[in-house]
Amino acid sequence: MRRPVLTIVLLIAGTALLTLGIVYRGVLLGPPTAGVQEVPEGDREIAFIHTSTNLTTWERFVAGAFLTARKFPDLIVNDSQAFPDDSTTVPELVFEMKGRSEKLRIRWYKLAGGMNTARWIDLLAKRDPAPLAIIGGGSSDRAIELATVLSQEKRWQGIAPLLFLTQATASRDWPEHQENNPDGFQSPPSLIDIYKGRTFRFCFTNLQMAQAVVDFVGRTPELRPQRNMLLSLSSFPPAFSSPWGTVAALVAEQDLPPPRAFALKWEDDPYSSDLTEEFKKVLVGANPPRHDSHFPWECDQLDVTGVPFSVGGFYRANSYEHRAAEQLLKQLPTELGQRSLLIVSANTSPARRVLRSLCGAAPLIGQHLVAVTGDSIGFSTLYRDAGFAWNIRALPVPLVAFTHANPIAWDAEDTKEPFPLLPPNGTDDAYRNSELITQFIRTTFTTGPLPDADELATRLHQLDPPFFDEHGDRLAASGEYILWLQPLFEPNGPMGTPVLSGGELKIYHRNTKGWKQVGDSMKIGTNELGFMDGRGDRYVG
Amino acid sequence: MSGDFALHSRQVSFWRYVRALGPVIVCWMVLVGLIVYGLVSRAYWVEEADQATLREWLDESRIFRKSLPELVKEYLTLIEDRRAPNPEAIQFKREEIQEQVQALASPLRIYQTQLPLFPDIYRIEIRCRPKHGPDLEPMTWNSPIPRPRGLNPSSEGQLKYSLLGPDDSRATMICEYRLHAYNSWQLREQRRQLFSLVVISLVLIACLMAALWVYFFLKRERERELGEAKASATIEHQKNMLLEEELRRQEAERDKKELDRELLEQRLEAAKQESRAAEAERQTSSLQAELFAGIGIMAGSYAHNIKNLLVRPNDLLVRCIEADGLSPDQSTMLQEVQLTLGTVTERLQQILRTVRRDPHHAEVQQLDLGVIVRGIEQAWAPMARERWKLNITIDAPSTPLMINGDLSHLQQAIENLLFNARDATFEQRNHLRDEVRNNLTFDRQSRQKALIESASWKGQVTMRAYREDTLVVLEVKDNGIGMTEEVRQRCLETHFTTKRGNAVFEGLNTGMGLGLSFVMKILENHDAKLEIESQPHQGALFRVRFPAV
Repeated sequence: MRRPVLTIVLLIAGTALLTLGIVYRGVLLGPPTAGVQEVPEGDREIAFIHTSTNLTTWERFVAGAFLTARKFPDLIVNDSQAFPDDSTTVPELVFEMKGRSEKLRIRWYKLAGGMNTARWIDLLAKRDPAPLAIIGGGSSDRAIELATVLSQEKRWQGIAPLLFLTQATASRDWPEHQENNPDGFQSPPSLIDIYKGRTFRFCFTNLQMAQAVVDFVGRTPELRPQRNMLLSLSSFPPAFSSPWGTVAALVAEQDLPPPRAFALKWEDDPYSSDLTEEFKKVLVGANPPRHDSHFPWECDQLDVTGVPFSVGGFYRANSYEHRAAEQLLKQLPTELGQRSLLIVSANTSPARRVLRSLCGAAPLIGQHLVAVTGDSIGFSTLYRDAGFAWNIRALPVPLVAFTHANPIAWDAEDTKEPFPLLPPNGTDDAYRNSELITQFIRTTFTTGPLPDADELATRLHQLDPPFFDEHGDRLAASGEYILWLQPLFEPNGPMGTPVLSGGELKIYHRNTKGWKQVGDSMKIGTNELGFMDGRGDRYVG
Repeated sequence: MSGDFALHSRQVSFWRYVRALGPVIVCWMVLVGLIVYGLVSRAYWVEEADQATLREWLDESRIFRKSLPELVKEYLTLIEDRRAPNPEAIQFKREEIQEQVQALASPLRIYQTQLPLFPDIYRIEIRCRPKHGPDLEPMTWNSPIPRPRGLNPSSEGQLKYSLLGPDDSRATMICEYRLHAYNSWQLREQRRQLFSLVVISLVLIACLMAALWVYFFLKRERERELGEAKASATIEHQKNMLLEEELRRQEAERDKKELDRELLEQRLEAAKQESRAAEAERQTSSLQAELFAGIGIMAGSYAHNIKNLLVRPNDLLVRCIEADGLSPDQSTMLQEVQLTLGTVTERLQQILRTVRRDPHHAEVQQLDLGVIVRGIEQAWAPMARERWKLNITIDAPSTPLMINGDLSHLQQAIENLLFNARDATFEQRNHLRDEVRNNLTFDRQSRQKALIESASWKGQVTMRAYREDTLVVLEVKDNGIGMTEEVRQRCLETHFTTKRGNAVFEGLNTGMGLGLSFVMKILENHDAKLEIESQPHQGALFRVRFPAV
């Protein structure tokens, strides 16, 4: 009797061990689910809330951390848990300063289907201690959602965290389709005031971007909207070598309608709505740019066309975008020498689709149009991914965009840095993150111990040199950059018409003396064989 | 009956096994089921992987900033908002969703050849069912790419799930797709499966052989253990039997020893009692010897003194007889006195001879009991008639009744019996007189008459001797007071008497309790047996049986 029982017990024990092994290997239960982690005693945490699908953003953040470490020799950046094997594990980036016992932990809480912003904030609020700050706002709509959730959360274990906005540039929370509901329309709330007093924006606002872009365009003759070609030629002194030529140009200009500005606004995108409004405010608002010899352009009208939503194909515009493009083509002055301003306040995809529709209908539309936007079309899109994301041959339109940091501050090719900044990737993300992390380090490690989020807010307001205004927005004129992508036409092509030969990308930086080009102009759109190609694909051998 | 019992036993044994092993086996089955479930699920990992990819793609892809579930949720929210219905916004959102689906699917067509890992999508349909109102028209995207003819149905899948999560059934996503080929993987998988088949077959065969080996091994071991157990049980049984036998033997020995011990104790007790009896008898004999010696000494002394005292009277009496002048009457009376004195002197001589001997050392000779009895009657009958108011009669044959004995001792013994009878008649007479005195019913005359009659009552003692087979019997019978049974049984004890204190008969005797014990001692020395028959107030009979010569 004893022997069979022993056999059965051994059999069950073996099966149980096998089951445990299988469970341990994740065959039965799968990988662990994500959750809020504890904070070791004495350490502080900053939560980085971002979508789970964009690992590149986190990688750029880590790169920014190591870039920051170059400024602080005693700063130790531990990225051993920054890229865990399981996608559901919360990545963690740890900062510590030699001589200081406390650590600053930045953890990436990923937004996914089952874990939205509200869920993460709920979990973080229940945990003790509360995080020092929440880094979020990868886009304006996400920032609005995050700020709203934070403003409604009252259960924090300790001092409520601050909100750090990294890429949310919208000044206000514009409701969708507000133009379709004019009745009862009220001024939307300011984004910085949703989570009032505790929000800090590390990026420039749409207003600042609009001001910079308009200023750059107005001060750049090749881009400035104009009535006729002669005026455009005025930027070329040889054209005015004859007095008769100058007189003729001035007479012709008086007979033509003034330069026009158009705007496309995607109503499901707060960023787009806000940027459009800020451009409108800059161009035709109470304080337009002054009209002088350094800014010889004045706009008295901005035609805004709304698009209900931003969803569409890669190149194929949705029906509303297509309709907007057709409407724009009808309104756009296309007389010789006339150049209008088109504000494309959208992300890359909608902007590409609309411009592609315009260019598809009028391939030389780029000669009568300058597209301007905010920071949504980045350097990497225009340079690294130019082969497909912004193919200059498909989109031969001059484009002026804004970027928050220098995108071409590349390291030397033989750098030994753990996260080298090398072309063709832009460096603006890393530098922008580095700017944010730098402020962390300055407020956390270079002064006394940081007790709570309130003290952090105080220190951020007391930075020297100052970085934020009294509301928490980043101060203007503190490092704006402009991207200028200019298609290049050869006037006399094989058919006797202008032919696109490629593009040229220039980077400008504003200082006290005005806009100054950074680095050299970069050729876009041609490879060694003369075919269109991006810069992102690198071949070896 | 035996069959039913065996069946019942098997059932009981079965349920006992079920109770004992059931929980363990259930646990084991659950664990095995868990493993099987996991392994079976893993066996379809290709389909699971495709579906997981599709779900991730459909749920998490953001053409703009919102995923498909978010857009559908907003769509349903707009539809369900009855307070401020916005048909235009609803239409925008519906078109946005359709645009999102199309934008999702377009790259699959564009990069179909570059993305072999992603399934081919044939149809995407979103069915919405608001909380209130009818089902909405599904939003459907159909791939313009025709499905291959003769497509194996097993390679076509349909993913259907609740788009808004398991707790929200308002929107259902249906995606029809074709499992991607995994061509290279399938080739490797086929080789791996072949290898696995061989390995598993070998493992199964090995397991089967191992199981058989284990089975037979266990069976053989069980049989061996069973045989050993049986043998051990038999040996144990035999040992038990031996032990029980040994136990019984030891118990018997112990009982026997106990009995022996008790017997020894009884014997010891008996010996002690015998010893005590012998000691008592010895002491009694010693006391009797001393008593008799003392009595003899005293009796001898008295007899000697009396004899000495009788010398002078005899001498004087002879002188008187020899003197002249006596009348004949006087001479006769003196001669009678002289005769009597002579008899007394002779008796004293006999007493002296007797007491000077040890009663245990009799001078045995052949005697005629009849002669002895007649001699005693002649000696005592006159005195009894005149002085004791007692008639003594004898009944003895003329033929000799020869016995062996000591004449003196026998005379003493018979005279003691005679004297006892005399005393009994005295007590009977006193008794009769007391009865009369105590009887209050008598009047005076009757009382005097009764007193006279009681005073005139005469005792009767009969001595009878006769032969009875080999015995010579002497009976001494009286009509005296008789004895109670207690007195009859104790009358032979030394110093037992009923006369002390009240048996003064004319100053002749006082009871010492020595007479009958003395008689009994003498009779024992003559191997004679004494029987006593008596009833109160009915007289007594002393019967002595001598062995005849």
